[in-house]
Amino acid sequence: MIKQKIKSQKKINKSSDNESNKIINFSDPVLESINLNVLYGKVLAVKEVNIQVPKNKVVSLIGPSGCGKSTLIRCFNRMNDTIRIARVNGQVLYNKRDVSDMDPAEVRYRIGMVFQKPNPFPKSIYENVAFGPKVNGIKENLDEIVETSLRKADLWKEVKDRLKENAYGLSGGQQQRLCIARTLAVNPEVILMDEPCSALDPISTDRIEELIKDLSSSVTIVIVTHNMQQAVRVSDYAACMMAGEERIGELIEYGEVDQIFGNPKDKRTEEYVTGRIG
Amino acid sequence: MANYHGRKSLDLGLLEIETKINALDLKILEVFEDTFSSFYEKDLEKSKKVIKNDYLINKSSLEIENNSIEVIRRETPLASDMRKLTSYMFVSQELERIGDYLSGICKINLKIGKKPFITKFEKIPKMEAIAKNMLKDSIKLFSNVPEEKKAIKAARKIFSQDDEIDYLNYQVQNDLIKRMSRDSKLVEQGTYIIWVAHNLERISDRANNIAERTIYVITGDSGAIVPYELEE
Ligand SMILES: Nc1ncnc2c1ncn2[C@@H]1O[C@H](COP(=O)(O)OP(=O)(O)O)[C@@H](O)[C@H]1O
Ligand SMILES: [Mg+2]
Repeated sequence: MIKQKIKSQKKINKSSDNESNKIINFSDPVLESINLNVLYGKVLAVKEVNIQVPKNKVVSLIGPSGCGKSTLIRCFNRMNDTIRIARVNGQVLYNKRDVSDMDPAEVRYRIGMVFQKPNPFPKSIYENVAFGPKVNGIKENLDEIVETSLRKADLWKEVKDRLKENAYGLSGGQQQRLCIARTLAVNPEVILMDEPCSALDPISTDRIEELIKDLSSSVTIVIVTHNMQQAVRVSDYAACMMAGEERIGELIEYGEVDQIFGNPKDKRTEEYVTGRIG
Repeated sequence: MANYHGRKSLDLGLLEIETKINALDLKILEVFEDTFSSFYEKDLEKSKKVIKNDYLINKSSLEIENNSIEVIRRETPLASDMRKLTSYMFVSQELERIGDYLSGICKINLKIGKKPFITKFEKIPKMEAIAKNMLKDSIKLFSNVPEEKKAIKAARKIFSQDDEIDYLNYQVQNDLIKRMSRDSKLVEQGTYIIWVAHNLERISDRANNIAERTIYVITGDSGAIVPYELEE
């Protein structure tokens, strides 16, 4: 082996709160938050988040419970509008347009959302998927849209002979894939997923992960997950959030997934991903 | 996930492997002493014992590797934990190779046998002392994992001895080749002694690797160390 010596110039910092740890600039981000602050009543929950989400990539949001991941992800498609006491300051841009200037319904079909617990409507499988397009005034080719969406969600084979049956008859994993199909039916550009697998068994989880990887060639996905290995497996980038003493959530580090999980720069990220905190 | 819900079982796993590495460290240092005392004193029985017991070193090295794989499989560790575990495997293999070099020297001792030495041994004991120091220091560095600045300082000290041992090795070769070309009766033992020096140089190189690994475990940056050749 060749003789080695330590590079002297190289300064390795594991310090906290380094601005450069948090910022990645993309040339054409699909989503971007600028100085985002969210309050519940008078209580500040998330502080000064600046983050860009690149097109057709998977970004995972990680961090201990209560650090504001759900709060942040809900800002992207204005879901916080539905929480009476929530107040959002700062900007969220979707393809450079401020989402607060857009029609909330448009925001939500362009930026779909999948929740922790599968939440199909108490209707047939078919109606669940056709719902979005119908609301958007689409009357033609519904069968085709339903089939394509179910195929994309990797559910078609299992349900093609029982489309008229109630969605509640499906297993948890199937229901979650149905919710993904429902989101896909309106051709979203972004899908937000808030712990989409935490209510699922390992096999269903595997299938959702496969699905995320497949979808990411054509949709941008932001996923909140507590499962570090899942984040490693499915995402391109990871953002770590953390709440300090005052319990105000902040973005502390954002980077390529290999770096965040292999060699985090912020010591709090290191402690979180290695299970020392959280 | 295991590493999410608590570190207890991961920490226990790491501790168990570290304990095994420490035991292997001590074993190697003991074999180092035995190898050279048996060599200078022509204690062929002791040399035979070293050769015979080399399998124990191989066995512990494999055990460390298997334990590391098991912990990786079970805990799916990340970041510094993952670097530690892969480094345990790497270092145990380096130690195993060092064991091979030492038992190689013992085999040479048996080949030379009771015939008188053709040299007074000036440079080889120097090489031996340097290699032993480098080995001790790198083992200590790897098992203590000091904070970054201290670690880099210690690693630098280890690397800095490398040139000296290379030069001594070169001198041993040169001297003996000259003598052998003048007197063919020296060729057999001369060649053996060149091998002894060579093995010592290899041991010091493995010690370097161990120090290098420690820096990688601490910084997570394999680029923290660059080859001399790439620096101006
Ligand atoms: N609907 C709500 N009303 C009041 N406080 C809330 C609400 N949702 C979240 N919070 C508070 O905001 C903080 C961040 O919560 P959340 O975004 O759910 O974190 P995470 O998803 O990372 O677990 C927490 O302190 C939580 O109690
Ligand atoms: Mg949440």
